[in-house]
Parts: sequence; structure tokens; C-alpha cells
Amino acid sequence: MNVNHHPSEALLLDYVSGTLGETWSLGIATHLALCPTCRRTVDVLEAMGAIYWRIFHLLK
Amino acid sequence: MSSALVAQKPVAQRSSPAIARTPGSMTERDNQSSIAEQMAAHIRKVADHRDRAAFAEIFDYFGPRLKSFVMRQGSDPQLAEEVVQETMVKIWHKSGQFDSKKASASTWIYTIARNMRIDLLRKMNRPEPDMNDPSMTPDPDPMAYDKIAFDQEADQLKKSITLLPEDQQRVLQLAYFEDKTHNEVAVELNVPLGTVKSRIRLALRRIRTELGDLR
Repeated sequence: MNVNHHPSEALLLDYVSGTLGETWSLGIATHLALCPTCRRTVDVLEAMGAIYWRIFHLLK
Repeated sequence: MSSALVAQKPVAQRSSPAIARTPGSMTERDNQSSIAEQMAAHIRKVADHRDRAAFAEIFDYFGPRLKSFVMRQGSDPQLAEEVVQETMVKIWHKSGQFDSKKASASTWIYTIARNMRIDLLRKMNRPEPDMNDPSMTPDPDPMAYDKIAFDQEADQLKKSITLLPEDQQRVLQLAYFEDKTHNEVAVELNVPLGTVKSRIRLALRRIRTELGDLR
């Protein structure tokens, strides 16, 4: 199955950071099941979040 | 690096019951109050001078206490650890809002930790894609989709992030560290929503290019 409409990166970022509401998050999760491209974007965003963590810990 | 992480924003503080420990004697009470004063002073140093040594003192003192505080509320050690770390990030960022006239250092910090625990529990319930969905679309090239390889690219990723333009970094920091939605980021930075979206898009495009991920 191909999907032609993708959620914006901004929406995916909100999904990753956990600030997106339940309903929207469910919509994104459903889209992710269908869309390897956006799954990959989410992976990058999650990895970036992890990096920001490590940067923070360098402050200690 | 540290200056890039500095962020301030106003936040409503609520008071909460702090550590339940009854001082057994006068000397212990004196000791407790002097620690409270020391910690309040450390928070102010963090706020005024981004003082890392003072921050380390706060971390060393409150880290283990917060962890057991969270575990007593019925969290496993892993979640407790995460709450502690997230709380420490908040302390670093929000030290400017600490007001020792309104709350003691421990009350302030424990309130942050309690709210953080609630936030994290909420986030853990984030809906995930259902891999058993009959319409689940597999990755076209499973070999390229490799989280382990991605981990190995972490250094490159870190470098790429630090090289991003300041305005793009700022958006990401607000999203990751301050739990802001892209709408809230737009308000905070006083720029149009479209600008926030394009900064996120540009940052991602650049990072994916630098990772050699051109798909």
C-alpha cells in the first residue's frame, strides 16, 4: 500500500517528544505502520533526542 | 556547547509536600536548614552564572533522594532514573524561576520531579505503530533500515547537530528539552508557525544528508 500524504516533520517531532495529543498520536502511529519513509524520519528524530541527552550529560 | 542549551521560560510553580523527614534533634534541624540554604544558594548560582560545580552539588545531593522518592511512588528503577535525569535538566533550565521566598529548594525540586513523573508516564502511553497490522507496509530495504548502524553513526549525528544553524537548534532544544509542541515553539520564539516547520524540515534534511541517508 502506498501513501501519498505525509504528516509534517513538525508533527512527527511532536509525536517523538510526546507532546502530541492522544488522538493525533494514534493517527501518526497508524500512518507509520503504512509508511517506511516516515518511520525512518521518526528514527532520526528519536536519535536526535538521544543525542541532545548526551550533550546535556556533558554539562555535568 | 553549554550556552546553546540555556533556555528560560516562565512556568507556574505549585507548592507540594516535600521530604517527609522529621528532625530528631535541634542539631539535626540546624543541619537540615543549612543544607536547604546551601541548595538554594546552588540553584541561584546555576541561575546567575550557569555554575556547573553548583549544579553538580545539587545533582549529588538530590539525585539519589529523588530516585528513591519516585520509586516509593511505585515506579521501577529505570523510570525513576529517567525521572531524575529529566528533573535535573529542568532544574538546569528553570533555575531562574526558583524563588526561595516562595518555596524551599527541596519543595521546588520535588514538585518538578512529581510533575515529571506524571509527564513521563503519559508519554510512555504514546500509541506505537502496530507491526501486526495487516496493512503494515514493510521497509523496502531492510538492510538499510538498521538501528544498530544508526547507533554507530551517533558521533556523526552529534557533529551534525552542533553544526546546525542556531535558529534550527533552538527549535529542537525547545521541543526536546522543554516539551513544547511546534505551535508552542512558534509562540515562544515569536515567529510564524510556517517558520518553525521549515526550520525543522531544514534541520532534518541537513542531518539526513550528512548521515548519507539520501532517501
